[in-house]
Amino acid sequence: MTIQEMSDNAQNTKDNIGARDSTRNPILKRNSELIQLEENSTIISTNTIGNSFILGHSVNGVLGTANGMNGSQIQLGEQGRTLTVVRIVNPNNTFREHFRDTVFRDGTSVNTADWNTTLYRLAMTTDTDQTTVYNTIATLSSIFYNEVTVSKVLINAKETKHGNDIIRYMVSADGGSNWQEITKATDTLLENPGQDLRIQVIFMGSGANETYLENLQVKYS
Amino acid sequence: MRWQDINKKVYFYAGGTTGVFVLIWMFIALVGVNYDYTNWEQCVQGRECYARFDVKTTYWRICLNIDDSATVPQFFKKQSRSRTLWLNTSRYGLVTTTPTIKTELMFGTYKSRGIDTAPDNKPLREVQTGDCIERGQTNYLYVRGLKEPEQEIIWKADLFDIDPIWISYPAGNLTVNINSDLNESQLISAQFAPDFSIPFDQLNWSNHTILLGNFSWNFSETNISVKPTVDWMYNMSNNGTINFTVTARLNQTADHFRVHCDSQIVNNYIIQKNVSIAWTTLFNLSNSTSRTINCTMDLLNYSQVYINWTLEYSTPSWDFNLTFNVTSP
Repeated sequence: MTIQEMSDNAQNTKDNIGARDSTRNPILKRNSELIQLEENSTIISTNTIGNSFILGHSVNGVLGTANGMNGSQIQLGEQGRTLTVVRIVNPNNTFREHFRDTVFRDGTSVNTADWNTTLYRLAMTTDTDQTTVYNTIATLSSIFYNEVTVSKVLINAKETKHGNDIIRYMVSADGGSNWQEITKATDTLLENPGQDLRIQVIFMGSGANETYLENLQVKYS
Repeated sequence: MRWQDINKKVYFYAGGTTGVFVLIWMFIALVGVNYDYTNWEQCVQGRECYARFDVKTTYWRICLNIDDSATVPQFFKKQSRSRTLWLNTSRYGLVTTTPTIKTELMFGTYKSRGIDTAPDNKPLREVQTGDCIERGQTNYLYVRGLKEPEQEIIWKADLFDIDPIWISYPAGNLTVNINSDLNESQLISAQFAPDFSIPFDQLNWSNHTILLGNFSWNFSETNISVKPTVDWMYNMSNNGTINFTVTARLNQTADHFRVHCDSQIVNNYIIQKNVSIAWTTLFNLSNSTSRTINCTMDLLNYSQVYINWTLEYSTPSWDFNLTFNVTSP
């Protein structure tokens, strides 16, 4: 028996007895649920076919010839393909890094800070000894790459620092050729505007793994 | 032992009339002798220790014959039918201790004649030949021991069936509380917070070479406080009954760090003392009082060298333990 049926029966009983009807049906409310989605970076890239064999293709469809799209001999399977990022854009011109993955961790540069995807933070180090000094760096790969020039940057992050540890931010808008230190939460004009935005985070202090940042945001224009 | 039995064992010196009974025995074995005792277990200033024997005799009158060359207390009688029993003893030999310390037998006296005062405020004097434990009243004999503050003494009186102890409680009376704003579970050395902008600002981070991670720095900073900055780090309390001196020491020292702690207060100015690996005297703390103190650290020529962001050289860490203790003044 459903709640509605129980309520109807109760009212029916009251009506038959003849007493004044004071029965009220329960009002069933449905809770609204709001699910917020955060749109993060979009990376647009091209991938060449290289010297992979493609059935029916005028060039890469002939096995054994040495004139594939990259000049190499055509072979079965994916061969010699080259992935090239052509655009990286962010909603509302704001890059967000929650350190839940290492997509934007620059694997070609030195990263001595701890990109911690378990605790979702960028920590000074994995060490715990707080009676020595650490000087570490995290380098992010391109976080914005488009045919739009960036000349102003605003960085925000939730910082947790041991003692008088320091966390500093370096920005390059020209793909890493020139770097400029900027202050967190301060809108900063770039001395070298450009179309390839990159970030470095430098730690110095003794806090070891107890000095870290979370929820890095880079707003640019 | 019954007095009749003693009379049967009287010996006489060959050339004299003095009857000598020689026997190592305990007071408790003598007929009509009762005793109780009070042991002040905690020694005054951790050094001067006292005990009191309350002896009551109904039959014997026991007198002391002080002979400091005597190694063992012995009873004897001067006259065979006398009810006066003599105890031949060294004033220093009535009590034996482990470890051995100097002890002395003393008698209660008038205030004007007292050279010492027992914990029950009774003036004391040195024991003399002819001092007697009289019949029909309670007689008080005192024992005074002098020990080092850190010693724990087990002692016994050869003539009494007891084995009490004398101890000091100086360490147990010192309570050290760390400021609740600090992390109690963390090493105190890890809570000192150098100003890292000093070495950081030595580097020009727009320099391409430095950004590649090839750099070195060297800095010194004095009077480094703990973080969060607090007015005091430790609250020292003397919960005991004696005054003592608070001391401190580090488990290790090195050229690249120094630790200072608050010491004496002179003209309302707190003097800090450098704490070393040896016990360093900081200040006196009266019984039932507390004092808060702060400590600071110096870093001297602390340097590191990085190549390609890999640490190539570093001054060793400033990992140390700070320990407090007390000594009795």
